[in-house]
Amino acid sequence: MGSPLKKIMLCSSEKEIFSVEEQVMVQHSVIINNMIEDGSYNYEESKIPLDCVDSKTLKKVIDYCTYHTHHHNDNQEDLEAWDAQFLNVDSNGLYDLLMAANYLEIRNLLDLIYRTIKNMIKGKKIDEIRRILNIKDHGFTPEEEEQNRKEYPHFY
Amino acid sequence: MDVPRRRLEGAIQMLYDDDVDGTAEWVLKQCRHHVLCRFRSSSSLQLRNQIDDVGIGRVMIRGFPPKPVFCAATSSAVKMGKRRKQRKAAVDRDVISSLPDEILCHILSFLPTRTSMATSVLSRRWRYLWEKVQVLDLNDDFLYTHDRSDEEAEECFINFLEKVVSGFNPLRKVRLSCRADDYGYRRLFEWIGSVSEGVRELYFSTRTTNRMTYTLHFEYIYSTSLVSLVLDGNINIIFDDVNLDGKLFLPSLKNLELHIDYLNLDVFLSGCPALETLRVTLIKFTTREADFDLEAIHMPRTLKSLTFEERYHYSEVVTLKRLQLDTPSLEYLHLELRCDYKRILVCDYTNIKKACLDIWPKRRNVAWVPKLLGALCKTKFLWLKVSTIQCLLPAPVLDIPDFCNLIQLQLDFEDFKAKLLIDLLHHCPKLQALKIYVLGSLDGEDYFYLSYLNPHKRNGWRQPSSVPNCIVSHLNTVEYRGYQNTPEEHEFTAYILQRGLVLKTMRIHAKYYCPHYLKWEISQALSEIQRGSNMCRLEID
Repeated sequence: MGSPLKKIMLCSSEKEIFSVEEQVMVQHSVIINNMIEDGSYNYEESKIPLDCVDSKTLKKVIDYCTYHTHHHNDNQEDLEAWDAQFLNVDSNGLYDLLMAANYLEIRNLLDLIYRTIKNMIKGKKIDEIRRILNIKDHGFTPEEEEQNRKEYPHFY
Repeated sequence: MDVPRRRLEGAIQMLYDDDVDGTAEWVLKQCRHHVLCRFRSSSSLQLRNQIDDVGIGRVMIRGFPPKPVFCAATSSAVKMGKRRKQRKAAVDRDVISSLPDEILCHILSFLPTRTSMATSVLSRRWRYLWEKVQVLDLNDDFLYTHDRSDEEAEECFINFLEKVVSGFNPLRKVRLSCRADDYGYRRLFEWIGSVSEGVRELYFSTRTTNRMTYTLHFEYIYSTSLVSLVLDGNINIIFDDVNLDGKLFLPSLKNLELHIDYLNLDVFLSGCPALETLRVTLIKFTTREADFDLEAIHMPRTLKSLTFEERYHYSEVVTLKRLQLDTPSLEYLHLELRCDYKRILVCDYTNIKKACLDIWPKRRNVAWVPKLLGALCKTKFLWLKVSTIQCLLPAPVLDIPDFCNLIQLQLDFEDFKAKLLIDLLHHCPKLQALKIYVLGSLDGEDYFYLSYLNPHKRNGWRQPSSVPNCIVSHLNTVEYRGYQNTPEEHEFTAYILQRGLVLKTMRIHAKYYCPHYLKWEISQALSEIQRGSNMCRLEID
């Protein structure tokens, strides 16, 4: 654990550099924590290249980590409201965030995204889920689709 | 493999089970700058050596975390690049469906099985995904429809379960809520027995409409893999005809929750050597089917959290020889005891954080309840319910331990006892929050007026000879529910207001039937008092 004011540099796929409080990333990202701990990060020269994370997504990820570091004592409802607002993005945005959280190993954010996707499916009819997930081509033959609708009418 | 150098200078995730063909080495040789490499390899040491040989700058080798489901999306930098290009070309694509199976299955595992089943008709991509989910979460409610008889519904349910067993996925977690009848039960339990191998979490809840109790033979829950077990409903667990002599039949079990009719708890616990969390509600003590003496209950020494509630009917007089709470790692304790225990064995709970005691007064408690309090003296939160305070009152001289870590104390009184409370406060040097709840021994409106109109009611208040330390230095919140404005209550409240130098909030909730003008009087009387702390807020409702 470094001192709270130390900064580390993260570099997005567009080569944009983000400077973040070390503490914020160390607390949330397993991978960055490991990097700092085993000394493979050099404060003078290094920037951590995140080639699979674009600037927009990286900014969001940093927002998430920063907020949760500084507000972890808030009550659960406030945090959940913030999280819901935070993840109010389209499925592409969600996908990018998922990939970034996966890559950086931010467990809380991953769980949050999984839960959000789960809620996109839960309690909905098939046609609605298809619309939400943007499934344009379901890939079934017309006969198969017909068969499914006949067999499971309550799903549709 | 044709990999653009540019990509490799960034970060790579790799998925290798075994580096048989030297791929890892090849990739490492391509790396010029620091690279984040992730290998799933049994021999990370070997990889580490290879990197030293290759002689590149900064490479990290990390094993994959077992959870959450991870990675496969980007099995190499090359793939990742392709994927991103494709996506940019078609912004509107169904990106969620393009997630790897592992992640989608992980997401489906949060859903009830019926919902994850429904996703099979979403698209071809989703067709067989739900079969790979290792969680079964079923409630049979949907089967009981008007066009189906109960027997048919039950048959449907069990057939479905049996299909699951014979079929596709080794289950990790099973969650069943059902209302099968006698015959169905036998098959259900057999089903549970047949899947239990490999299952880590089992939740089983029954809601039969008749008051039958069903017998679960212990063979069906014998499992080396089970980590968490919850049983809820009218079930008996029977250990007949089994030689259990020292048999550890649930060796991995960490979490156990039982809200069932009846079991021989001690026998059950003796088979769970690794238990950390235990929640037991015992509803009946005797049943028609089985009747035996329970001699003693020994709680496993490994326990960290214990909730033990006896909910026997008042008419059942149960005497147990011994309750053994020799659990030195305990952090949370909630006891609701109705039995008349001849002996309770305690130890020092050095890690205890929270304790709630609801112990019904019996002849013998007088001696051991204070002893239990002594053992709990390191706790941060303590809640003594009415019953427990009734156990403390008859003690001729109450030897109160020093609660050196106590931050929050909640006391439920039948009748407010200022002396006991002040005595307790003397032994809680760091107390910050005090909650008092007075039920009133003769609860009701009539009694309220009686006591209010009778100013000669005995005033038990005696000015303490010295002020308890916590009032001066730590106590910042006092909440008083069920305030009746007796002289004793008024004196006590006034005392805290005057002496509380760091008090921030004093909240008074009068009895719900207290009329408005009386509340106004209470508020008048209390706001006139000179307060010791200038930041103290007084709230009355």
